[in-house]
Amino acid sequence: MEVGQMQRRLVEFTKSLFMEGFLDGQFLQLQQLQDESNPDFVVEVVSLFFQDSEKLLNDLTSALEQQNVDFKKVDAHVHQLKGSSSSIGAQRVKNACVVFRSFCEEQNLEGCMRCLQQVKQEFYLAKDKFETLFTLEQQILAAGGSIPATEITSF
Amino acid sequence: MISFICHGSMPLLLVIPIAVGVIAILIVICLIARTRVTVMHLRATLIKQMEATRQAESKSMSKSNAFAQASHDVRASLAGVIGLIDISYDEVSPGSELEKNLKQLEACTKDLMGFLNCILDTSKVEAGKMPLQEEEFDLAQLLEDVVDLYHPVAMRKGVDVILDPNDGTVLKHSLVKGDRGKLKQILSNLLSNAVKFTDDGHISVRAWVQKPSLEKLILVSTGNSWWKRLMCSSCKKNDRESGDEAVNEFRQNPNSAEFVFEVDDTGKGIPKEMRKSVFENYIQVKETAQGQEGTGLGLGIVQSLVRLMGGDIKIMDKDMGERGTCFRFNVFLAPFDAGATKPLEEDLEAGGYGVAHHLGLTIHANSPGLSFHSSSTRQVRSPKPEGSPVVLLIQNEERRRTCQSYMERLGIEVLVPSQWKDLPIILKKVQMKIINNAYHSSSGKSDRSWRIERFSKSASCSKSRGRVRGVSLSSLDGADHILPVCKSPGHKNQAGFVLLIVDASAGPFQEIFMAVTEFRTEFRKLIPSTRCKVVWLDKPTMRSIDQRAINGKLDPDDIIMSKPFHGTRLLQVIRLLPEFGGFLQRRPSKQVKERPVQNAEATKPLAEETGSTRREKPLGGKRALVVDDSEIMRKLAQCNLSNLGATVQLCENGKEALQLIREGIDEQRESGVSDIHRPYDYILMDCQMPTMDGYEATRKIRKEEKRYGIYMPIIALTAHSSGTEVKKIFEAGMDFHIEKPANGARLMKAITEIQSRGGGA
Repeated sequence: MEVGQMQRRLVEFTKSLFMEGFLDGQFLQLQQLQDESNPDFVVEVVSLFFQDSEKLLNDLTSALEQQNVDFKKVDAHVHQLKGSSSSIGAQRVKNACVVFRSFCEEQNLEGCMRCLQQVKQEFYLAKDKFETLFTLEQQILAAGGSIPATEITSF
Repeated sequence: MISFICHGSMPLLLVIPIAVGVIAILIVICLIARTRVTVMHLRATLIKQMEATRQAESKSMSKSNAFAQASHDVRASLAGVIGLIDISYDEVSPGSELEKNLKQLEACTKDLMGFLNCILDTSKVEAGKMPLQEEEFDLAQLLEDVVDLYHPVAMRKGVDVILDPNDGTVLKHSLVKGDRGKLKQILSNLLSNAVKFTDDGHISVRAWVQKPSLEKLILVSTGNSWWKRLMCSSCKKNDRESGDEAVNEFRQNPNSAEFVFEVDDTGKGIPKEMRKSVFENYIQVKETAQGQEGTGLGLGIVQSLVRLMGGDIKIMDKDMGERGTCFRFNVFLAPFDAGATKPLEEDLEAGGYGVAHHLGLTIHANSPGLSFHSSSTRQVRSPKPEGSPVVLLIQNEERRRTCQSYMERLGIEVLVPSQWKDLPIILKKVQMKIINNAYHSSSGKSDRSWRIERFSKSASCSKSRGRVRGVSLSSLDGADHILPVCKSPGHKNQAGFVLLIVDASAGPFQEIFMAVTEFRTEFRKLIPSTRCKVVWLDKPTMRSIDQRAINGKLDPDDIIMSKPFHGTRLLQVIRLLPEFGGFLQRRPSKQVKERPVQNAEATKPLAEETGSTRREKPLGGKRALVVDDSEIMRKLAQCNLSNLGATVQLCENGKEALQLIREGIDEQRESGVSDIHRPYDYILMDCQMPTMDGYEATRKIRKEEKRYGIYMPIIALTAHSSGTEVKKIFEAGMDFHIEKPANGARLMKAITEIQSRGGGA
């Protein structure tokens, strides 16, 4: 595929991610921080997020499977997940976490279980989207092109 | 007895002829009857035929009627579209991309109208009785419009469409009278064919004014009919007769000039045997499924149109090894001087180079007849060494060649790297040259000046590469690839100017950009009086210039052009040079700016938010401590703060933060500093952390500070912004709080708040 086509695909894909609420303005901030001194910043941060979050999700799963669920601990984990997902702009994951936290406050186990499922779903969805995004970027770079900037229109 | 015999044989003798007669009559009657039958048959058939013809005629009549009706409807809709576009002009901001698109839309609808009319007049075209419409139009603009129209389509195939300025004669006489629509049709058709049949390489369109040839002069002067007949006898076709009248009409008209056009492509080519038939059999060139702008007129119609305008079209032979087809046709148009030449050309002349004079063209303005004394050898002036040099880096070879030769014709010195890798070398050469010029002009007299050779072959490039590297000013004397040329004394090189025209897709953009910025900064250091301007050429559909990568480091004076580099844009860029009227102002005039670095402006709001301009960094020289258990947050904060200019220290929790601060103080004490100052200027503290959270850490830090009389502003990072949380924050002793996630803008807001309170600095 020719570089121009790939670039267009990337732009379209990125736009769709914003439209569908997968990404928000924070992601743009991340992209702004990437420059020659930090050429892989976005990839690094996002990979970090996914590593951390996998662990968090495992912790959450085991915490909710306990006999006596420690809601405070669960809440702490969710809080962390919410923070990190909002810092990379993974909007839908963050929103799922917000709902999760309210159930934690109510100490509603069933609600929490459902929320955990929701969060996991959003998480893996987001992971998939990011992987596609980065693959597209890699392809363009490999073909010798450059990544077109995401134009900041109204989101 | 004898009388009896006589009486007996007489009836016999009579019967035979009578019988014969009767038989004959019978036969005649038969024949008559037969013919009658045949006649009746024939009549019947005739009647049938007549009926059929009548039906056919009426069918054709109704077809034409239906056609007329349909066209009427189509015309109405088209008129609607044109009207709506007109209205839209009022709503659009002048000079915007939208306005340009509207202009093109309008041009397309006008063409549609033209096509429609043409379809209706097809029969007239074949009979050669199509009326020529006279209108005044700008030929150079027409050429540019047509080329620009086909440019995006061709680019998608990877084919570049170039408007070759050639010798500039068309620019001199671009205001002409003639049939614009037909000329545009001819060019469009040829170009659309070229695009269809070319898969790589380029398509060049060029035009020039031809000096009148000997035979035409004779025709003009004698105008004898026998001579005409002699000319006609060499004609091969009969239907040339009617065309011939038109031709002679044109040739005799002293007002009209011969304009020659060429459409040259690097496509499949047309074999010699087919060259004639391509024109005759105009079904040959089939329209592809792409549904192009093609009017459905084949090359045959093109030929008729050309002939109608007094010229002819043929396929030129190409040099050995060159592929593709070159169509050349000529038409006669009447140039008219609206009192003076076009303003653009005027500027080029006023620059003092006297383009017209050097091209050997003299035009007598305000006179009905125009005489051309164009020299067949197009003089190329040797570039003046003290003129502003232009560095031209363009990927497409043909475009490079045409731009270079045109500029050189104007007397501009052009340096051309053949590939992007040679750019740094060429830039170095320019540097040396300018330095030399400045050097020599200050010394007053010299017998040396430098004429830098253009490197068009990579072989010579590799040769010179070794020499240029590490060369210093003094050692240039021995360099034999730069030839000394006598310089005219007493030249002024007040404020020098260097123009770089860089194709952003000529190579990896990052590297090209770095080479250019390096050159620029060095230049500014060495020769502050010389200005350097960069024009970036970019592709309209896929931007090669990665704004993120250069992140606002683009000079605001730089121009980014996304439309193809020829025609008016080429002239605009040339006008940037001081010799051609460009001013050494900070901000170029509205005319010249193609796209006023819009991308940089998009990032400007962010820059303003963060308060960081390209030059100053608000936290330059400040040390920041980031305390957060989340690695992502740490990374983010580090990036944000270092972009603002601060040096960043990271740690994971309150305990570590306290330790670091204590160590910082201890270091100072050990080195014997009497007046301890704070180890960090700002602390970014997450509230929720294991081991020791933000609140406790802050409390402990404040205790430490009191012992040494120092104070460090602490900014709390929190996800909560509720009242109780905020209260906790301030109670613990923190100065400000930021909502997570922290970005540059929020950080700067907090810091400026603190500074205004007097806690910072």
